[in-house]
Amino acid sequence: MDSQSQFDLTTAIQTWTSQFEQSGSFTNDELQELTSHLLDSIDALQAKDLSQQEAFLIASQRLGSIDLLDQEFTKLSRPVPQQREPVLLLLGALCFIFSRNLSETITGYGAVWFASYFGDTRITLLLDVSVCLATLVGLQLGGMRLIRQNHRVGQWFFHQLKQRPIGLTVTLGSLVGLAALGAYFAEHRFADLVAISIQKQWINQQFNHIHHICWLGFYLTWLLMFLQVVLPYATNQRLLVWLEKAPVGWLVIAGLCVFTCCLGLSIMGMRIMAPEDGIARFYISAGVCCLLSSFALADSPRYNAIKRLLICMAPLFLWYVLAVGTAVVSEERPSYLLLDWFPIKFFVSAIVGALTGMWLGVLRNRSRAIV
Amino acid sequence: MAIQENPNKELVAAAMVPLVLSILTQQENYGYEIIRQVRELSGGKLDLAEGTLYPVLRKLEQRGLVESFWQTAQNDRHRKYYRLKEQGRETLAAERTHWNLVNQLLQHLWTPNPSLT
Repeated sequence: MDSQSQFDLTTAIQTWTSQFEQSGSFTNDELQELTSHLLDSIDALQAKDLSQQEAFLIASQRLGSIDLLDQEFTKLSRPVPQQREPVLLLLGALCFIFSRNLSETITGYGAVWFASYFGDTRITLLLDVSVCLATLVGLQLGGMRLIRQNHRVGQWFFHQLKQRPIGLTVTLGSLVGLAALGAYFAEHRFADLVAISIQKQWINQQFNHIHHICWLGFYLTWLLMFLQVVLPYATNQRLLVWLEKAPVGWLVIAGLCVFTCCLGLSIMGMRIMAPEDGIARFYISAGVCCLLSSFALADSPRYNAIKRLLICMAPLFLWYVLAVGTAVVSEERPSYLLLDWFPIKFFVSAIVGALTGMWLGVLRNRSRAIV
Repeated sequence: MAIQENPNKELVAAAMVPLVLSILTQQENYGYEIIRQVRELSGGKLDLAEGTLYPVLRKLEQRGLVESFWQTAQNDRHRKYYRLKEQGRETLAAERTHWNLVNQLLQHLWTPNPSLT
């Protein structure tokens, strides 16, 4: 009977300690100290003729709930979090390289495998496109869903980060190495396939384009994830809320990013749909970019309508000046940036986009106000 | 409103640092014993929140007022002892002046004014 209850106490204390370990706010040293306190407390209570179980319950209650202790201990400024920041940066870089290598391996081998199996058919192309998209979506969703504090994978990750940052870095580093090896072979096989399809005049010459779009999507995904993670960390605000109050300089930079993304996407789209005449992509990009920017800024308490319009146009103006400047210097024949009413069409589509964005923003606000 | 028998949480929290430092002037000590001594000396009226003592001890250690070391007791139990450092003594002296000041002020306010009429 006595040995039975002794066993119970040991397991009870183990369970109690493991809760604290999982929370990750305590160092091993502190945990040992708290456990020693608990045991002292139990001894004292047992001396007052309480049973082991009663003594354990009262002692652990007196020490405080895990939430309370967690709250108190996280307030401490520790040397660990300061070391954690460079570790986090390093881990972020490693995660980036790892997921890039992983998706390169999957999409590269995928294309080669489908081509060897289904030959030069539309099926191969369709399957290749779906694998690229599935990899992209899988990475984004997987990354966002799994690496969260209330998910088992996320809990493991953050626990390792707090307790064994070096071990975690080494593990991730070796994963990166493995994935790099896979990516290396996949890239070679894929390059061979592309070379064959160019020589043999396959239908599937679009392999390269599809993979380029996939890469663009990959970088966009990372940019978004980066903004989602870093902005709340740095400014304590969500991306859109921050944008509404951000200084003009940042807004122009953000606008340039959006414009180049639109341009990149439309270049890829045009190459597949209309390889001969790609000029329209500039107008589309300008319109879409201005639409997105002015829609994002529609709620801005800092800027009025005219200023918002100017802020949306500024990045395009900047881009146009830079582009014309480099084109005039490097190209001998007159650049298409000056021919055929290009600037007029370009900026008119931008204004139309911006106004549409504003209009959509007003609609959104109105529907919100009604709700 | 019921009159509280024991001092409220805020007062206990404010008194935590001088109490801990004062107990450590007597001898080096560990967390459980510090709480027990405070309870005993106050006749059971002052109960330090057990879980919050350790973060306070950690802060004192970070500020360089105390230092800690592990020691094994006779019953094979590891305990983390805290020892007052020179800087801790200085801080305690300053705390003592402040608490005395507050005490004197309150005493002065609470003694009935002697009046001739």
